[in-house]
Amino acid sequence: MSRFVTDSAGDSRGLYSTDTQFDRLSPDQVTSGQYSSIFAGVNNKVTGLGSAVFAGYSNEVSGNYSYVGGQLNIVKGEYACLFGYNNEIEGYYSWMVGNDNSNQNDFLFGFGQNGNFYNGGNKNARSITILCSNGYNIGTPDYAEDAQPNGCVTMGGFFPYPVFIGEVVKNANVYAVLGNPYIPIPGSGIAGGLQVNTNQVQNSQVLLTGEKLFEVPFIDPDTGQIRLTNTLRLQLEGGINNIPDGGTNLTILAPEVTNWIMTVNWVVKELNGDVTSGQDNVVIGKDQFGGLTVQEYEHIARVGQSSMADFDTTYTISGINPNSIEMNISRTVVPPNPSYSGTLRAAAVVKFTQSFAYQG
Amino acid sequence: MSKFSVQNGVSGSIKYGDPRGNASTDMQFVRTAADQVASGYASLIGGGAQNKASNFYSAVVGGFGNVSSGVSALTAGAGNVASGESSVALGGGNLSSGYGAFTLGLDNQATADGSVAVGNGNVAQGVGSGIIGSAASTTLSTGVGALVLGGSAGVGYLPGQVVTNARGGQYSGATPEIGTLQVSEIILTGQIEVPPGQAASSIPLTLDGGAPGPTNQVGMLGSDKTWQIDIDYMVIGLNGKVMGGKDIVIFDKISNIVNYSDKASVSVIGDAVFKTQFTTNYISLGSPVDFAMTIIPNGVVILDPNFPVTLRAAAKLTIVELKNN
Repeated sequence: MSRFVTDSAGDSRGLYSTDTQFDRLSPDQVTSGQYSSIFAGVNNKVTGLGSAVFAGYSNEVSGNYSYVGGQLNIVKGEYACLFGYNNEIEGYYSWMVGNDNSNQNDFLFGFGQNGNFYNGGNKNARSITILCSNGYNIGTPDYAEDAQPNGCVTMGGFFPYPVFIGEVVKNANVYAVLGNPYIPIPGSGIAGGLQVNTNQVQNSQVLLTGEKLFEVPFIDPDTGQIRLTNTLRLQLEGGINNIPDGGTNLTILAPEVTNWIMTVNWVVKELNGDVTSGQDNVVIGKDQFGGLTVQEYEHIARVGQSSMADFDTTYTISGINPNSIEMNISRTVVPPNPSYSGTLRAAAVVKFTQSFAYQG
Repeated sequence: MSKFSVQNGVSGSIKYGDPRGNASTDMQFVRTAADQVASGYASLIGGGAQNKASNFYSAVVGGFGNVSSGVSALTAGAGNVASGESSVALGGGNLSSGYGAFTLGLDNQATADGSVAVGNGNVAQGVGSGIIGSAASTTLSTGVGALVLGGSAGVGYLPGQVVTNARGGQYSGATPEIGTLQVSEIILTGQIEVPPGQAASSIPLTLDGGAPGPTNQVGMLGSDKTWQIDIDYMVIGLNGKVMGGKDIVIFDKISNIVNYSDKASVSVIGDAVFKTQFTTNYISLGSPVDFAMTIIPNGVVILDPNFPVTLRAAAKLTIVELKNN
């Protein structure tokens, strides 16, 4: 005996499968996968290798080594686990509990409901965690640089919208705007809310880095002194092992009029040398014509060694990509001798508070 | 019949396996060793191949090569081991050995009691600690209740530390090195009693609010680190006074010694008089205490001439942690 079946109806079962389901609408709703199991329920179907349906109604598992409980769930990914109602998983090693979710990402872990994973060009993003958020989006098809938000986390709230590597989103929400009759609350038809699929209000945090060797000294035409310029461009995963740039631009994805307040904590260290750090506040805006501007930034606090005091931070909009924020840390120094060299390493944690700014 | 097995004709051979536990259910057909059966009392193997459920109430839902050896342990997937009591291991190649430990994903380990490891290649060693949605991250045994969220090669090594945005492979090439680049948050607390008519003394802030010692103060993991710290603190007099402030602090540690630190006070708010009576101080006491925070009275501060006053302080530290060699 190489199969265990309690009901002889239906198609033939897979080798070494266990099928204790009695009722089905079509003959293929059986354990046709090898080592697969259906322990109870009706209209369940398992074609994957070593996969199982614990119980429930009209679940379908085609991925290998995957498990599902609940109703109307579809699992195509391998090593996936799914509980809830009307969900679909295509990613591998993913685990979801909730309702009406769909996921194409590997290593996703999520609780929540009424979620929509608009994976688009970012469907290969990995290690995503959704903790008790509702109506979430992971990346978009039209994100210009197709940056995958690997390792992103959303915690609570509604419609968090991570797009950066390692981004952590907290407190996401969609606010109602009183007196605006033109934008309905999503799905409700009630005037006074905001449109769906935009990240209206959220707090998030990303980490930028930069690293490079000192540049070649030059002769200052005004003073005749030998000088060198140290400019560090901070990017997502920027400047690894002395390779300048090489990371991903910090690109703002904003389909609507939106403002951001950025609090930036940054540090610059000369390896085996001195160090300095500071905190800046930056105001970013996007108008109704789609233009992104750095409206203002100020240096809030500064600490560090005097030899590093001439380092300064600047924030501009990149000319390469009009939606990218360019953060640079730079100084011009007089080297102690012409052969002076070293490596600078910098990191900055950027905390965003983002707000929809329509004034209709 | 006190047990149900799909193969119990000749117990003891590999084909049929060892005797099943009383009240067990074993629906597995394929094994390469005789003990790959539901041998525990009231245990379950739902299907699959080469699985083993050996302890009381343990279960292997299905899959391949799983071992549920803890009391009430559960596994599903391939190559998982749940050896801790009431532990769960789901996915591939996971180990849940702590009491109530939970692993999910690929090649994770949750070895401490109540620990959680979700993602890929994570190891949770702190009691009640968690790693969620990360890769190659760790909580150390000192990181009780620590949480690593997202990123890769993050490390939670202080009690209650919450780590985000970790990128341990940034400066180490193909082999990630934990804690080389990450952001984290911790809370420090402290409290003193000021007798009536006497001057307030300094308030040391520690990880557990207790008297400062080698185990409840802050050490930086590794010998070469730079910390940029955003500190939001508050001091409460339980007589109704309150003040708060924000500092920016930098600590630079080279060859196991903090050789440089600096502080900038950004703002102070609160009761008009109370907020002028205290300031902050940050020093290194030498290994293992790289960072010590103290609330210090500005001169002689007598809070109440007739009644004792309790002073309570708390600080949230947001730390950018950067490897500096």
